[in-house]
Amino acid sequence: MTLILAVVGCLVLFLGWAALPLLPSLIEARRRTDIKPLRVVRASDVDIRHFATAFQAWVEDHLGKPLAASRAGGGPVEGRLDDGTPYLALPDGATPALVTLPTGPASCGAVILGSGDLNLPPRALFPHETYADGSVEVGEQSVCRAILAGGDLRLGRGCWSLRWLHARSTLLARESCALHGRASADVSMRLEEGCRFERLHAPTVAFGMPVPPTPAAPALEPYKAKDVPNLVEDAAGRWLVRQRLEIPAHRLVTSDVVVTGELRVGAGTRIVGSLKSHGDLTLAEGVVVDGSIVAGRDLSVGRGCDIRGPVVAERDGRIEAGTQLGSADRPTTLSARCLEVEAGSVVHGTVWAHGGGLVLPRPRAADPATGPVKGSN
Amino acid sequence: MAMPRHLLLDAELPWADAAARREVLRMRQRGWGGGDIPAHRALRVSPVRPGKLVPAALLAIALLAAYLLLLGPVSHLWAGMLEFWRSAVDLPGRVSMVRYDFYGLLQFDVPSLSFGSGLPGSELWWGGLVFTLLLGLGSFAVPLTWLPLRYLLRLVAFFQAGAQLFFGLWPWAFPYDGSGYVHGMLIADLMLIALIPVLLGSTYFVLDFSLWRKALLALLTMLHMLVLVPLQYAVHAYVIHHLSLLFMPLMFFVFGLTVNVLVFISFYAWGVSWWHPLRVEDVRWARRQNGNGNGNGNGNDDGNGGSRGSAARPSLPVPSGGGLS
Amino acid sequence: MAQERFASHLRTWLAPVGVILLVGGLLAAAVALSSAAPIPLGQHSPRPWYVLAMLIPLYAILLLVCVYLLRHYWFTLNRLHGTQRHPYLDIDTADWPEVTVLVPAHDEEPVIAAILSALLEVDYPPGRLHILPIDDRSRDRTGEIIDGFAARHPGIVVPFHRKKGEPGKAAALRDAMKLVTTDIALVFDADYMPGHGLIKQLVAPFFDPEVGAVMGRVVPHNVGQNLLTRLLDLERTGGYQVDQQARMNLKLVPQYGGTVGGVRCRALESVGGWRVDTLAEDTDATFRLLRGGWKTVYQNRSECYEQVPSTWPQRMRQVRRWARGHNEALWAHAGHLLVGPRTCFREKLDGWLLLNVYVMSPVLLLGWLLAMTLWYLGETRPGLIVILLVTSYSALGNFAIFFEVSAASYLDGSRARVRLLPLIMLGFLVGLFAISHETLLQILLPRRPGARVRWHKTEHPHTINHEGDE
Repeated sequence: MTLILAVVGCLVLFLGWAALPLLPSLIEARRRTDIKPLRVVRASDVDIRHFATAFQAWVEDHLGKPLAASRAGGGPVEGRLDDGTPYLALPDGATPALVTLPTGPASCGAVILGSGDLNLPPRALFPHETYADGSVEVGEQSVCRAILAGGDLRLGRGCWSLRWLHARSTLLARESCALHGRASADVSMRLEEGCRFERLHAPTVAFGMPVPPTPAAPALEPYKAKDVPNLVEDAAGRWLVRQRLEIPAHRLVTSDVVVTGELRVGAGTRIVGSLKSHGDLTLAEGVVVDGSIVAGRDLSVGRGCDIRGPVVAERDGRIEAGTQLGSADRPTTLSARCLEVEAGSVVHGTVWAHGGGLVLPRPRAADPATGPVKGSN
Repeated sequence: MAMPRHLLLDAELPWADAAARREVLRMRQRGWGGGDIPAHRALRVSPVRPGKLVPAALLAIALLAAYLLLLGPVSHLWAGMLEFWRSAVDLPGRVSMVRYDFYGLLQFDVPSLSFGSGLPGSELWWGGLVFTLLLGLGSFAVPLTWLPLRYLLRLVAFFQAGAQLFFGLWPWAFPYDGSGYVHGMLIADLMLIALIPVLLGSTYFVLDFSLWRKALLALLTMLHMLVLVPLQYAVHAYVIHHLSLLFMPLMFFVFGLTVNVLVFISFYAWGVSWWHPLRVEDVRWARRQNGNGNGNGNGNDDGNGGSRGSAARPSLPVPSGGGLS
Repeated sequence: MAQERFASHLRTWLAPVGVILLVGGLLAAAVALSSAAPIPLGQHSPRPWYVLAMLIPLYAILLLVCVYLLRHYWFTLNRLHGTQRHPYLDIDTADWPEVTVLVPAHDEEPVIAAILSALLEVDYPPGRLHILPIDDRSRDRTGEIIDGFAARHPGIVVPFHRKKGEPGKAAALRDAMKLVTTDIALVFDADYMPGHGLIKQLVAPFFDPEVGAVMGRVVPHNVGQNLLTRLLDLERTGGYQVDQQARMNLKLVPQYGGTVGGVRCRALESVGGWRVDTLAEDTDATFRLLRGGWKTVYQNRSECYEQVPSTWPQRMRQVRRWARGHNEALWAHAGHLLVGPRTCFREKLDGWLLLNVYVMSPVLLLGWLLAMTLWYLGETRPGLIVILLVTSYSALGNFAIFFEVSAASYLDGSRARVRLLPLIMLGFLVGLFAISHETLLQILLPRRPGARVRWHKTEHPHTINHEGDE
């Protein structure tokens, strides 16, 4: 009897001990604690205005009354949200007061609402969202978490935004601002020299003051498939080229071009199609591309180029002055890891620089009306 | 075109104070609730930092070294356990130690359990055949909703059918005896346990679990195996002794290293389900529990809007309220 | 800067170095131990010819297993720690081209209205989105529902009633493509539920003139139905979150999956259009595009719900169909792929390994058979290598897959579901036998070229409601 017990015990102990690590698995199979599908949101949350739209709705839901009271001439209205965060509704043209502590910057620790235009003082920290029915003027070197302006939004020199900005009209970032996260405007946006940015969107995004358009190019000579070295295939409206390709200046290309190495396009050339390179992609000045551009590595766009389709660089990009991307009726996207844009360029649509973008000063020679245009064959 | 990795981080702040700058930069990543804003799962990565990898590598090496240093006590523990179970189930024979020398670098003992194991008689063989047929035919009776069980039974039947065939035709040619088999498997399992820190080091320690969790998972897995192995081969020895070598193939293929591997995978799966910093749902859950504060509502593209005015845990000295100037 | 550079190098080299260290370490340990320790198992006499005849293929199979192990391990480390490629995700503003969305539907009465409604709500410029539901010989009210939508949305929903012709999704797509006038065609199965921004996300990669096909991530919706759907959820997670994205990162061969994706029509036409005599027209299209120098792009952020099979027989049929179709693609493309001028070495290598994925199942079974036979013959020299490698067929070889699934679940932020990982072995077991069975049948009873294929349809009894809809 003892022996049988010992044998059964040994067997049960073995099976039980071996199965012990399976317990979490079996318990989960039985209890079904994690059986919901991954949450796929149908709403288009990648829309750059997503935060602004959600904030507007939230303000109307939660702070509609104090805002209405302030609009009706009731003066500033103070209060606290359910979670204890203070809010402050200000009348037209008002400026919020700041509190200065022994350490750290002067700041206003409330959600700020303006029932008209709003002025935010310089060299201050605004760690909560700001809303105004009208325009917002931010004093220089202030740091704001997020601003939604019903009219224009103007940032003084050296301002920082930490999450997002949206202007229902125009947005102006004066010199050396740093726009972290998203910045968008419904009409237009201008970033002055030294500004840094991450994601921008407006029907017209101007970097510095625009440069006069490039003079019309001379007559273009057709560039045929037979002229292309290392051409692997000419089919389905596309040239597939092995290794490096250099398209000479002032040519007309009527095909998509895919290059497995580096691609250089000479000055004044027009591409009636799209460009793709696995390596670096360089456009000399005055190049016109009707389609899109995708660079597998770095992208360099010369002065006065005109690109109508989306522009993507998997690494870094540099856009020289006078370049125009997209147009008012055909907005587009410019995307790169890090991006340097010379003042004088214009993008119609969206600009993305995940590793940050910088507006460089415009060199004098960048004005095609005054400076010489160097050929680059 | 050499550019810094993030051009925005070079921007100048009005405050020269380094701590304030760091805090402001941190606020870029913080949601309205005060928690960090997670990336969408499609874009999420486990960051590579020397601060994570070096301790993880050192932990794996330390665990392996400790195990190798403790091989002697482990062998003696196994010998003791084998002897205990041998006498408990009345298995005739004895447990001895065999010494191995690993290139002069490491000497270790492995227990050897000597016990009788013979070829099957005709009754046992026919019994085995009936067992095989029952498994094989019984698998057809398993309902389709349990389809994997069907295949599992057929797999076991397949291995046993192979043994039936071999012992039916060439029983004299079977090259193994029970004692040698058990001894060999103990060596294999000694190695398998040594591999656990290596395998976990390359598949678990590279994740973002805390160091103590990593150490805990490795220790739990190794300790479990250390207890399991002698028990496992005591059962093997018992089965082979009483049911003959006819069942050794089944023990080897189905209840041998396969069980140990399943144990490893089970521990691994459990370990991966533990809390880690990338787990967004846990953060959200914590926020719901606390009512506010810990989570975020404005994940980068997480669909919940970044537009509320609340920072529950501002670290900068931010005063409450405001007023007109 | 130095630290950033170091981190960048780490990101680049962690995966390859990790793979080399792991495999090198394991092999070195096995070789050292097996040659140092006197192995009590087996005979030490010279091997007879028949033993050698089995040992050589066994080692070849083990080598293949190791190659696939390395591949999965590499992919997982890359997805976890490497630089992630999402080059087209940023394109949210553009002059969007006209696009046609094809919805093949064969007896899809319960779900067809939901997807058509969802497509009508997507964010895409008016007049540039055309919806082409394909009523493929339906016997239920599918055609009637489609006609209702067409009547309410003239010019946007253009139905195609297919009353005759070869059965099968590929044949339906081929016939429907004759009505497509746009250069880009997206395909959604009838049980899928595209989100508002999904169409733009899937069209964006086509601005790259090299892209021939796009694939989004499929997310199982009926996860909680039973254990099988939960296991399939884990498998899908690994397959998309890690496997497909890693191939995208490494510029290898992401696979077009036939739904939640699309093709550039002129690219597909240039390589022969949809093939109708195949059970895996998606895999076939991926490889023909690849051979033609067109890339397939995977968009991990472009997610869409699907319903996975909820019974084991359904799952068996699905796996067998995939296996047969995939193997047909293997016979059709493996040779050409290796010598084609339009693909680079890494694409050839990954494409070839991808083509052979389903053949590996019968090969694994053969390996087991050889290992078992050799074991009976007492052939365990060089000792522990054979024991370790052979018995860990389902361990280390598959463990790379376990690692992949775990990592995917980890990145998804999932909680307890990954605890079901050991039970995935059940799915592997069914898959192993189903695939081997189908492959064997395929070898013994090959289908005649051009023979008709049957539409093995997965039942979709429910519509899908998004959690984010509230």
